[in-house]
Amino acid sequence: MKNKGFFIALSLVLVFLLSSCSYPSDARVFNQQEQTTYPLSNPEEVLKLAIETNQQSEIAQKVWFSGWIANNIQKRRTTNMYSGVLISPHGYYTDARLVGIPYRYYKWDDYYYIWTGKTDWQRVTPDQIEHLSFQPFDHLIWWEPFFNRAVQLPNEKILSKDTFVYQIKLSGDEWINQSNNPIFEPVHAMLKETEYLDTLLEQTDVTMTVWIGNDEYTEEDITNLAEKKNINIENKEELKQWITENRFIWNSDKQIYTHHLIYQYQAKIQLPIPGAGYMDQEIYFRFYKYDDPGISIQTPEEMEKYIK
Amino acid sequence: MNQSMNKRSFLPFILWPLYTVYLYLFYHIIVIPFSLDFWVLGVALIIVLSLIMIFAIPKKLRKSIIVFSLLLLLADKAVFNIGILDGLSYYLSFAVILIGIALIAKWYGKLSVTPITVLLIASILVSFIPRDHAPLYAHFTIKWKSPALYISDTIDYFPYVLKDIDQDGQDEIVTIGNAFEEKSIIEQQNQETNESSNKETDPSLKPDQLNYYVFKWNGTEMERVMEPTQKLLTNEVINVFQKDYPGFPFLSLNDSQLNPLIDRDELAESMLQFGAAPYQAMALNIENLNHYLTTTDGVWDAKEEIINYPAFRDIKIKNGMITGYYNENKFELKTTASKIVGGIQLPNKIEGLLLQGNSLDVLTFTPEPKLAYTLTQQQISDITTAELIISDVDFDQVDEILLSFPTNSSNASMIIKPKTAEKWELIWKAKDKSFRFEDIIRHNDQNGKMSEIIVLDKSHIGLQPIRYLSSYNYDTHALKRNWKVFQSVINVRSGDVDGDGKQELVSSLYGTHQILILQPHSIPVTMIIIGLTMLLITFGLYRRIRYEK
Repeated sequence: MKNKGFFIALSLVLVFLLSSCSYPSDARVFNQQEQTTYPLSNPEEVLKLAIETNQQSEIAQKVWFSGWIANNIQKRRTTNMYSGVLISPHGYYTDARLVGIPYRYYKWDDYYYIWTGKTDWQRVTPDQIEHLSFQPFDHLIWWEPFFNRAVQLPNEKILSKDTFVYQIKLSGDEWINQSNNPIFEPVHAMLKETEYLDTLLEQTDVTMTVWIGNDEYTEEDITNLAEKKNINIENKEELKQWITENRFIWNSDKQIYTHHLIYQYQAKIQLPIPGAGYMDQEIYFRFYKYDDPGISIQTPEEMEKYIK
Repeated sequence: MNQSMNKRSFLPFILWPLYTVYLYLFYHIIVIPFSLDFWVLGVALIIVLSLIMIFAIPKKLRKSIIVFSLLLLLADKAVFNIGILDGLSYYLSFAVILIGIALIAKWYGKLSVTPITVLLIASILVSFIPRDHAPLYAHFTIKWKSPALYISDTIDYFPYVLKDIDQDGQDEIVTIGNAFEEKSIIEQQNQETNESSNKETDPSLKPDQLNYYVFKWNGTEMERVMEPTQKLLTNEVINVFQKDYPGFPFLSLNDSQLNPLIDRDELAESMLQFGAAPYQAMALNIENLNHYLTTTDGVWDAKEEIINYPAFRDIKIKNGMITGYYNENKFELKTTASKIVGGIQLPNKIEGLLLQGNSLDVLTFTPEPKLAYTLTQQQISDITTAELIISDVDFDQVDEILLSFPTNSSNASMIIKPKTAEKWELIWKAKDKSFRFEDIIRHNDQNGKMSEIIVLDKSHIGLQPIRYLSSYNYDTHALKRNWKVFQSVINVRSGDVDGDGKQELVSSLYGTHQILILQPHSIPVTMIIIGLTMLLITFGLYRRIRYEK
């Protein structure tokens, strides 16, 4: 019976695997993480340049984006997600999801449409929405009062692009008290009426991080790009003006131009939640394929066809 | 076996059905779990085992048994798959399956009438067994499975309370949902839409009306208590749902109504002003918490009493201070905590109070109230969102804390222990991030194990982060598995719903809003099947080698 030995071994393995399963511990140490930061000599200048580049540069006007607000309170995770394309200064198209339910949103100048599973596409008239003026990157300047507190973190690659990483840390009450914008107006009004929120804001931590690209262009790249954008490259004055307007910065050491688009933007809010620890909230956006010729949005006339 | 079968004609009527039951259990309790737990290795072992079994079958019977076995498993799966159909199409598909099986069995398998009849009867019988719960039968019977209690896609699950609220010896289940009310609304709407097929035109979000559902064991099933009184729906119970913060910060739960604080178009408008997005999120946080704190008069958390710790009373966190009484001495300390977790037994018989905030803090009160132990976010990342269970898992009269982190956390579950000199020791840490501690079952019998740790644990080698229900005991920096059933559930709690003094496991099925009550049984099904398999193989091999050389 030469099968006997094998059979006994197999049955032993089987019984062992099914009965005594022990789960030994992983390395038993508390983590000790320290972030490397460098103080920045001119954070205001760099952050403002990046915002200006996104506002003014011709190649920042079309971009793909994806992002979310993700809220973690203990094991409960609630999200609001977006992914779509942006064409400044007209508008955008986005697939979105709020608390598990998908929707789509479209804006082109003064035309607004929303799609939900129950309604299909519907017009939204501008008086139905309290919209801010449409300048998608302008409101980054709301962080300006805190720019002087920015620190630089080690460089990171975002989708294979080299980026500089800047970070600002604040407490919730500093953020609210030193910010003056229409969205915080109702918050300021609430704070005047109640004392309950004071401790909560003192114990809130806000961390804003922005990933700024450092794309390099040779003189030849710039001329080719300008030509594509219908600039008369023979006219040196016109070319020079175009380069300045588009915020290409000459680096005399390396003999190249650099361009500083925002590739990623994140705010983390850690806020006490009564009876449930602290919430980890992440507001995050990634911008990719700037100036992708494939970006297009349907016209309002085309959208009208969907309205029944 | 074949010859004796032919001689005594009643034997096939017993042997084929017995083999059917054996094969069904072998497949669901050994093959499936084994393949899931050990993945390729498991599959390989099962293949080797099957080859040995095939070898052990007498030559004459081999083809019939293989065809019978494959057809039975095929029928089991096919009957399960057509479960999504209803009405006539279900019965038609069923008929096609039965005819198909009979034809293959007859023309290809050359099976006789008895096994074919057994196959057909078995195909019909398996349609009454919930196949997706079959792995559970290794350790449990299903005591009750609720209907879906919430009809909508907004919230993926709701918590439930499992507690003997009215103190009659049976635990009640309290949860929140809309299914009973929503069904009648949907029926009404269907009637209306039949009359005029108008699609909705208003895209704005509407409040979601929810209701508290209380279930109680009536001897045969969990029965809904209609119009539960305040004796059952205490403030403490309602608080559980408030403090779960479903939909936060976009939705706010008030008087069992989920109210949207912002509409989708407005939210998209401000979120896609990328710079403004964090400001919009924060404005929603503040508005939502302002609603909440107005209803609690600014109190963050409060407990009138602490379970098993009678020295404490009237503990409250408000305005960054924790106040209360310990042995009737009033205390007041500054704190950044937002949650009172519970009492904790520390070394040297000292009692502590565990708090969770942006750190994990333990307060002690003798001789003076003070912050004794603390663990910061630098020491344990995501401590702010961890779920905590306090329990003495090594039975040394000092409590441990079992920590589980949210699914997307970078941290893995761990057990920590307070030591003397106000230091912590990490006594166990999971290697896998999907491992979650769920509850502790306390056994009333004082011999041996006094409690077991119920966890959700993914399979050993499998790549999918599906978590299965398992039970472990702590044993010097390791966890020893008691059992594991390959059923994926969430929110497992142990309790005595039928008042028999034994603990049942209550859980819910993710994505279905159904509650499942599992009653442990003490039949060692897995061991019986393994033993039987060994016996059959031994007998078969012996017979083959002895008589079929």
